[in-house]
Amino acid sequence: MERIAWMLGAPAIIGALWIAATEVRDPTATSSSLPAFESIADAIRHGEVEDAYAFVSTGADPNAPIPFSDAELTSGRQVTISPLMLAVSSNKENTVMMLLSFGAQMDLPQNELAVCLARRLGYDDLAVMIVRDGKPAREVTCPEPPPDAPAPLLAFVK
Amino acid sequence: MNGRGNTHSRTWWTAAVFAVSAPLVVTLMRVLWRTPYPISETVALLEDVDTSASFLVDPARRTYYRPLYHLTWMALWRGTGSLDSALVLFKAIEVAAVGGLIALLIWHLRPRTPIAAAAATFAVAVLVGTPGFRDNLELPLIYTTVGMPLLLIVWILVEREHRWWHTPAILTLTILAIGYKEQGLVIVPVVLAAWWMGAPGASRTTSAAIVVATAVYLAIRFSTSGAWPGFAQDVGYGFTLLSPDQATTRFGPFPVAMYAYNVVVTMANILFSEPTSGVFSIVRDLRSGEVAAWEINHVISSAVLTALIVWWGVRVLRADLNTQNPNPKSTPWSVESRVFVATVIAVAASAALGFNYTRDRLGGMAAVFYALAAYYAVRAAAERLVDAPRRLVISMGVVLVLLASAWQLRTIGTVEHARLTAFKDRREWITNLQRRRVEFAKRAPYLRVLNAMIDQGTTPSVPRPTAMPEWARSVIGSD
Repeated sequence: MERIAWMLGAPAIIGALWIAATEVRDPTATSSSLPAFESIADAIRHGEVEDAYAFVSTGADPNAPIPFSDAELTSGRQVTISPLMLAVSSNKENTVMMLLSFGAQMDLPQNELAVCLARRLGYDDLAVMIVRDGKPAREVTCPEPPPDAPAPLLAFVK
Repeated sequence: MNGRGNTHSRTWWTAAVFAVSAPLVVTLMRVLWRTPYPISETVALLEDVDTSASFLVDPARRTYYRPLYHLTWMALWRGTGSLDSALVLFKAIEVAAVGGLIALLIWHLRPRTPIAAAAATFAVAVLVGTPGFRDNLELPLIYTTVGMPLLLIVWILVEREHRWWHTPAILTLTILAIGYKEQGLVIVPVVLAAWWMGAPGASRTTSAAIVVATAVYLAIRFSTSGAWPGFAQDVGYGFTLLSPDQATTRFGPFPVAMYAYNVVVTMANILFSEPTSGVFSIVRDLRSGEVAAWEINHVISSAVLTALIVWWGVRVLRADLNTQNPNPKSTPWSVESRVFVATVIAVAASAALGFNYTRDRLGGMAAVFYALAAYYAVRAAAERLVDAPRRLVISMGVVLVLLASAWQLRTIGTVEHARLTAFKDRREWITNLQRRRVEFAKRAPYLRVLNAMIDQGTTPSVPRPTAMPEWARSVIGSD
């Protein structure tokens, strides 16, 4: 009788061990407040929205321009860009929404071309979302990028 | 009730089941405790609680009427004077209901033998692994999560020797469950069936009281029903989900056919884990060659267990009917027969209450009895093997191990589902705040509640799904 009981009960014991092991596993078990990337630029470009939020929630200014360079987006040139513009150029919709939720202002000079950039890159849904949720106070005239621009982002940053 | 005894005490084996189930219960309660309330549902609900009390006195206001649920929110919020405290206390109710339900199940079963103890661990896995349990873990919609332990307490009372206080207690528990959600009505036919089948704690007075209370409730509901549309929610049909407008266009003149479909598929969901919300998604995935291992596991484990329950149920009913009852005043029905009949009734009643639209969570009340029936069915099957020929022991033993393993995977899947829900809720807070501010800019109370809940929604100490290889995720399941 006990052998049959063990056969029937063994999966429950293994299941209990599995569940306990997954609950007491490494610190990634919870959404840590510590940034997992070295910079907010890296987090926006290569991480999930939670990675970028970890910087904002620990005091990073969502409007402060940040240094950034990328082979694809800036042809390797070092530029200064706002987190919102970087999120738009990376087509990170969640990150754009997070930045708008936690203080990114569309009327600041470093952010006001975000809609233009989204349209320029063909991210029309993102552009619509920025207009709807970002509520820019005035309509901006989008700059015409130079025909020989090596990377589209360069036309929108200093 | 506890099968063949041996020298081990009931206390010892019950403690063993509690010990084996402890990691699951503690983890589930811990995950739920750290899960943020989502923006969706919660903020609008609390705005409603903050600005209007008509949900208490006006059953015609919506297609649903859950006065005690709303009253709980109101009492916690106004009683403490703090939204933060109300949120914590309400979550405590959910966590206590979930932990309490599992603990009550084990305590009610109180196994006396090693086989019964193993069957009890299986019953816990079945309860937690059912779609009805899983879908009811969603904050703040804990209506049925509260009703499920109330149903089990009622069942425990009707199966005990009658005491004078049983009738008021059962009546109170029933009213509480119905006040939280209409699904509480499942208790009514269950108690009536228990009384008819001679359950010791279900007296004629109990049955009469519960019938009167239900009649009053239904009279109020039917007399105050508003001009509601034929379909209030999205309804699944075949392989697609229809919006209320689409469903009205398609079934408007004859909605009864769609209502019948909803009843049947709710039953199928409880018994076979397919379809989900009326949509045969696993069949669809099977046809398109995209079926995942967890989907197959859900259907097969449910189908095999349902077959086992039917086998056990027919067996115990037949045994009772064929037994000569020496005392004509006593009931011919055994505890197991009553559980089987109550299971059938709970499944049918849950399905009937989901006539307008179906969701997994509508099977929550039935899940309690499905787990109870699973205990007796598996215990009966295992006990038959004790004196069986070796070949049968091996073959049937393998089947039972596979079945128990399949349900354990589903239990782990429920824990992962709860973790994923917590992760998604936090992400919703991080990404959707601005959209909500814009959308509800003219609703000051909404914005007040929204802003007051940001900290709980964005806290970093939120569970996240376990990192695991793709094959493991495919077997355990992910949303």
